[in-house]
Amino acid sequence: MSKLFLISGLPRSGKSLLNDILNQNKNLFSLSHSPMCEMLWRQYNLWNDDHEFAKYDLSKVKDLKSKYLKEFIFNFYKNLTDKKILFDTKLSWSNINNIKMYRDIFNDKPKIIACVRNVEDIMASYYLHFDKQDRFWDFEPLKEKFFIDYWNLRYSYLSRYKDRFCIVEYSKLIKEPEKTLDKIYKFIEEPKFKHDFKKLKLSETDAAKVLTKNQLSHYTKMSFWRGYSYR
Amino acid sequence: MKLFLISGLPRSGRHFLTEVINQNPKFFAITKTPLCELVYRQFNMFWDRDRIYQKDLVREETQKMQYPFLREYIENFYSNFTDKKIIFDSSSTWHTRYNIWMLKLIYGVEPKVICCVRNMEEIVSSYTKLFYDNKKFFEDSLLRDDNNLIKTYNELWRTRSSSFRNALHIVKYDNLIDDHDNTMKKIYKFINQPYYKADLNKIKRDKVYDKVEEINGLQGLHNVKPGLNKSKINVKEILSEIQIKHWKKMNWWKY
Repeated sequence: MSKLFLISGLPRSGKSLLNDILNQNKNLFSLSHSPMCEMLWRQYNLWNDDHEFAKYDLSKVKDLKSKYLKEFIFNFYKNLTDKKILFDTKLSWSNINNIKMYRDIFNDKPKIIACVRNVEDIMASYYLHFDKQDRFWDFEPLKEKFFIDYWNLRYSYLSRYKDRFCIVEYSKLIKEPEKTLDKIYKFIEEPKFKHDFKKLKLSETDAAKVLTKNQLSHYTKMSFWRGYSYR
Repeated sequence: MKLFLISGLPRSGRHFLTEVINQNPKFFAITKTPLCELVYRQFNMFWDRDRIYQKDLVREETQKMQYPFLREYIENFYSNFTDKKIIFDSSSTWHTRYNIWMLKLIYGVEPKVICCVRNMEEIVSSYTKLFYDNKKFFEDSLLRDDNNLIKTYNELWRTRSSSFRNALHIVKYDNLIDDHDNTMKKIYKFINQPYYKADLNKIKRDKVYDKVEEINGLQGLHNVKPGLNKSKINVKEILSEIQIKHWKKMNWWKY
């Protein structure tokens, strides 16, 4: 029987990097930018919609829900890999409704690896990134999207699913990769593996140079995984 | 009765200018009135886009009375405030194309709108400081749909690029303070009235502003004082380099 773990977190926090590292292990398969969450949600929604149920007379398949959806997931992965330990990467997994969906299907809470980074560093990184293309981060619609992702993660992390999150900080992933990977293997209860970390490089953005004092004091308070309170 | 309008961007001295004009004994200038919204609703009823009242608007007499009725409506509204014949209504919504078009139809001539503007980086840093002093974060409110600054800026830009651009008279905040007399003379020339030199020391702060500040939750939003006081804001201290660079691009009135 395969196992499915989830990877989520904040944008620009090293999700793809973690994907590459995990894929070095021959027993693991990690898929980045996966459409799984959305596909599953559409299937799963059908069962909750009484109107649709009446239309198609789906009452006979009512009990099939969990079994059918489990097969749906693993069939999807069967086309991609033979490996038994799977990682699905998508920001929206940190939404509490998706976590509840997972729990409903597998009858168990999910284990989520959440990649995070200091919010002020993310902001500074975005400012520089858009400024290079002569665009202004304050006006980007992506900024709204960022805060949606942020509040989803924050809400789920501070809920009763807190013990199901493994927070992976970007700076620690770069500076102490072995320790961080040990932590992840301990979290998913799998044997350790010796990874190759030669190519890791810390992207240097000095938030203090890009942001103002006002912004810094506001955004540093937003790193909730350290126990800071917001406002 | 003659109606002139004062409009423009927020934090650009619109309330100060209204109080200066109010010093002229012939004029009556007022802010925070619902006139714009009231006229807009009445006007819309006659146009009847939803076709709900169509059968009530069939009579020729009703159709003919539309504009005289609205003119009297505005006059009646102000008779509750004053007996003076020259009135300035100040609201940040007057410079939209729709409102100018509406007034043009009602009065038969293009309205005259005095528009206060100020460098965008100064407006933003002024807001940032104001929000910070009230323990709020301005960037959060920039993301919201109901944000006033970007909305009014876009409307002003659209009007000045449209055929209604001659209805606008741009008053820059820096000129209003540094070169006050000349700027006021230009405004009087625009509205075709004899110049009157106002005594700036007699300017009083309207008590209504306290209530407005309370509603917005922003202390110091309308800080109108007697005399010429330029707000001392160091943009470089409040905004970052990238922010200043991009906000500066929006100052079209400089070129």
